Amino acid sequence: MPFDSTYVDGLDIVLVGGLPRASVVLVAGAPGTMKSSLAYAILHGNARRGRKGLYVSLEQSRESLLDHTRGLEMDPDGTAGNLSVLDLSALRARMEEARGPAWLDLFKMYTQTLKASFPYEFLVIDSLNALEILAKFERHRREVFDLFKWLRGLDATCLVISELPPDPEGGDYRSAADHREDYLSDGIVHLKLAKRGDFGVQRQLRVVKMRGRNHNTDYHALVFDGGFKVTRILS
Amino acid sequence: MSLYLAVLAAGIAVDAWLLAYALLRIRRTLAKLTLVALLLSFVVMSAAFLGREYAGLGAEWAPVALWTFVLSHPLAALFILVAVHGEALLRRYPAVLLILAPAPVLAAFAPPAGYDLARAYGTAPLNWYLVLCLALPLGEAVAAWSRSVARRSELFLLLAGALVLVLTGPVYGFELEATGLAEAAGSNPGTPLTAILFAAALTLANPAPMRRVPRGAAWDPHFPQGRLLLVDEARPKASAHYFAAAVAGGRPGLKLVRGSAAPVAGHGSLAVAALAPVRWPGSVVLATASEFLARHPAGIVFLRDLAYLVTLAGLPAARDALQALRRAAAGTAGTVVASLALLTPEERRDLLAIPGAASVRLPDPAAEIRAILEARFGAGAVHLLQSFAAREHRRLEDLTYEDVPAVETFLGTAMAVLARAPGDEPMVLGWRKALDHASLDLDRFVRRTLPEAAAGPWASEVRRAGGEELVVRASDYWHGKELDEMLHFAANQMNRVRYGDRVRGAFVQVLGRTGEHLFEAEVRRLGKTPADLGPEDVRRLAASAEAIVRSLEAAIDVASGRADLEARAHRLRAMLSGMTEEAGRAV
Repeated sequence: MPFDSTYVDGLDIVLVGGLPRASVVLVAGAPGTMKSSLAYAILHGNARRGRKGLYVSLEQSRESLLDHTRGLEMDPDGTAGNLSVLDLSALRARMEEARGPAWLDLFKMYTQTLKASFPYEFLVIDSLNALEILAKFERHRREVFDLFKWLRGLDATCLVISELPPDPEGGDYRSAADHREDYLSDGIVHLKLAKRGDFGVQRQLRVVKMRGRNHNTDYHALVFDGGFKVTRILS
Repeated sequence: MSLYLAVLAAGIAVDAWLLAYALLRIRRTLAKLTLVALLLSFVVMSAAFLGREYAGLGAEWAPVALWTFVLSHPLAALFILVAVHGEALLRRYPAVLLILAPAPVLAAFAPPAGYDLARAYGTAPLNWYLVLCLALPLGEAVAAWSRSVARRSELFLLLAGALVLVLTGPVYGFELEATGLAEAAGSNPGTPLTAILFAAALTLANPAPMRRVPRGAAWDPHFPQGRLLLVDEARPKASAHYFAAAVAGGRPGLKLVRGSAAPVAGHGSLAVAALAPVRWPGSVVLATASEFLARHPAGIVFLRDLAYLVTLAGLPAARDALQALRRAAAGTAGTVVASLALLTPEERRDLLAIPGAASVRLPDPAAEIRAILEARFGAGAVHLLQSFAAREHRRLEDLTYEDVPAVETFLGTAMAVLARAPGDEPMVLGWRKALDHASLDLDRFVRRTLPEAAAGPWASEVRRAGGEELVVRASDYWHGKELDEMLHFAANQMNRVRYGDRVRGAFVQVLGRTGEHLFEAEVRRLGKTPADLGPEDVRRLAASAEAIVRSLEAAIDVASGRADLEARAHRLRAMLSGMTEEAGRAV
């Protein structure tokens, strides 16, 4: 099975080679765990090496996202046009009158149209929760199953960002009980904030699931220091 | 002698190359076969001569050289006769094959008679046969060239090829003998030039590509067999309808239409060939039709765009081609049908005077449909018919036989719309009865065979009875309103549904399922339902379509993606603008 490198220090070692090509991987975590930034960093790293990526933002505007990532030293200008941000948040006003399924069709129309004119190899959906709300999923499991199946047909490695409720205890990965998209995805990368002593908090990452790989299942520290690094947790 | 050797060797190469070319590119079966046989005899004849004279081949090759030399003469005659008279030559004059008969006889008697290759043109009776074989096709080519207008260029090439063969054959042979170079005689250095001219003639008159169709039925109730039928009609609709009916009945049919060199099309028993704007259209049409009739002696060749042929080739050439087609069809079960649509009255008169051609005058179905409806519904029927045509994106004058079922369905729907309007029961019953009568008349009109249609009477030519047949008069049952006003009302009601469907269709066609959602959102914004949309709403939707697609574009930061959406926006704008203009006319 071919793999796509994440170009995140240490993450490919944890994944034993990288992300399986054309797979659908959930990047799940509570707010503040840098899910979007990590997903963007993977796109950015690949884009700098000539591989096209599409970031679909359903909530954050393009300007806001790019300001944020520039602050993290991931300037889109350095990608030679290989990284595109699809700002669907701008369409909310226009689509206000449209019914729920319109959003899913809109999302599919854009991603399919762009695949033809901008043949991206990576796709980030930020976030699945926003899409679910906008598209008003009624039979959640069935509709997510169809969506993931459709995403696999795009022949791009998809990172789907999934919001988890804040966990003050910083416990292990637990999916939202009524959603269960974790069963449908090919892989799950869990990000969390773990308390360190009385005042400290550390970002941690764990590859919960990655089909077809004997990956490392331990929690690792996710550090940002001019770029993301995944390291062993030092006690 | 080395130059002569080089000329002969180059000639063999040219003959062999043209042989391969003819096998691969020429589509006239019989002409191709005879040309290939001729070129093969040229190659063997020249190779045997060269082998004997310069490569030391033994005496056992002498009969081969002599026999192929002799055989090339009747083959040349046969080829020219086939090329001049078309694929029907062997069917019409099978005796022409007898020209080949003396060749083996003379070859068998060659050794005892002392025939020699070098003196073949000087030894009787062999030389009589050879000269006859060249003189006969030469005479035919001269006669055909002087008569034909449509095939003048093609026949000139054949004539030139035959002349070259004579000059470089017997004339050159006699000269060699006279100058004491008899050892060079027995070859023909002009064969490559002849081959080039013959191959060029067949290339100029190469039939248009067409698919092979099954043999099928040999008869249909519409067209006479063995005739050229000229159909006098305003547009090529009636002839096309009856041709389609005959082909649907299993009779093999070739439809010759105007167009560029189209891909080979057709289905079932139908083959379609495109007549491209070539330099010698008359030759191509004749070759295509003759080839089809040779393959299918009971087939129909339908020249739908005869006016196009007249434009390309001129009236005299088109007339000449039609006369040749009449001869090709004569004596077979085949039919050549040519529509005189779009020709001027003078051109029609000229073509209708072609001797031996049959002709019929057929009605225009659009005029007939209109006349039938007017006879039943009065002058107001035209509103309904116009509404139907607009709904189908057609012009009223383009309606044809195939539209009749849809017209009947449309009338039924209009009837239902009228029945929903406030009115009394007798009026509705009366309308239904009128509709039934109109449907019966329309069905009867469609079911008529070509001879029945030609015999008439035509509804468009029968003076309407002034409404006596109307079961219900509008003035009796519609509170004084006029009949055409009611029909106008029904047409408008149906137009409103049409606008909703059409605008939705434009959105979906351009933006997929997203388009449908956006359309519904916009219609809700207008406070309406798709069925309520009228001409004025189309204008508003066309205006907002611009803003919709602009907002869709804003989501993308990739130039190519934006260009793709821009192209879609352009399409959507164009489609809605078309509807807006139409809506303007309707209002």
